[in-house]
Amino acid sequence: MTMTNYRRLPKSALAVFVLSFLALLATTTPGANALQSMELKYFDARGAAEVIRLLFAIADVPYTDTRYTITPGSMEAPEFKAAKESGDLDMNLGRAPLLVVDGTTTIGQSKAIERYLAAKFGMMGDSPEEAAQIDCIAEHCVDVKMAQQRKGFSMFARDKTDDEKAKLKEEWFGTDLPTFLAKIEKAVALTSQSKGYAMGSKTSYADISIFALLRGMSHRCVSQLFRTFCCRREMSFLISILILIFVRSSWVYLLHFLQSYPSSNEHRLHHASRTRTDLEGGRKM
Amino acid sequence: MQAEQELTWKAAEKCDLLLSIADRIAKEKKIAKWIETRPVTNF
Repeated sequence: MTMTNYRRLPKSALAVFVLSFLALLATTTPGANALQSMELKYFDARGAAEVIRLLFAIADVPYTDTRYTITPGSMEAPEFKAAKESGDLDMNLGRAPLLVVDGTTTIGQSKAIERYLAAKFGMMGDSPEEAAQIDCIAEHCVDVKMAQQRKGFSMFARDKTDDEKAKLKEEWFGTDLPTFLAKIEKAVALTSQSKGYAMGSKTSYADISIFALLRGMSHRCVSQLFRTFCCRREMSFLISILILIFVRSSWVYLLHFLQSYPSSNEHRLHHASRTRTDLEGGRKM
Repeated sequence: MQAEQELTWKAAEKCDLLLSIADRIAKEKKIAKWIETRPVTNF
């Protein structure tokens, strides 16, 4: 009966149905977008790309993290210069970061990339209103960073003396920043429904922005660096190899030394015979 | 810079909600792994 019904369907209608079903499946299956290739192009620095990298990390989506090396001292980046000259970065007006999707679509402006990825990874809330509020909180975080830059006490501010910078820094961390953060706290309280979440009770782009502002952008302290250095499997392996090479070299050297150094009796006899020969040789002369 | 990070943290000491968000994200395994393994850079 069922077979008969199927046979009654025109072949073209069946094909359209199957294709539509597959298309729907492709667009609604979670992770379907993960099949896209993603490449982030930025300097070998956290800077304006670290929130993007954090978004990739929390979504656990693989991507190519292309980094332009910065030459220490001169602060030049030859790979970046070459990319700029080749037109690779045109979408971002010759600047970085740049996100390349599927090798063809390029997206510039760090915040545009962040919002694009956050939406793609389901971190922009459940409605356009929530998305706007999440965006609003993320922009507050940007405002804080911009205000800190404007304050002008960073190592790049060359128009101020160290004393002036110290005073500005004290003002920023002692008064300006606490005031700014208290205001953001009030704003976030309006959207948060659960401790630890800026929007409702679901991880959002706003959470990542707050994290990046408060602790994500820090340098690791020396102890952390040391721990990382020592904990890395590759580094442990390298250290083990170096120790083995050292032990083996020492052992070979010791063996060589022992073999080349005559025993005490042999040495005495050898010494006596040499002395005799020398004396005889001396007499002959 | 590390000192600046600590100063930022101190500046947020009255912001329980913001700190709870930063703490929760820091504890996310994938984020913790990235922070631990990301290339060490000056900026």
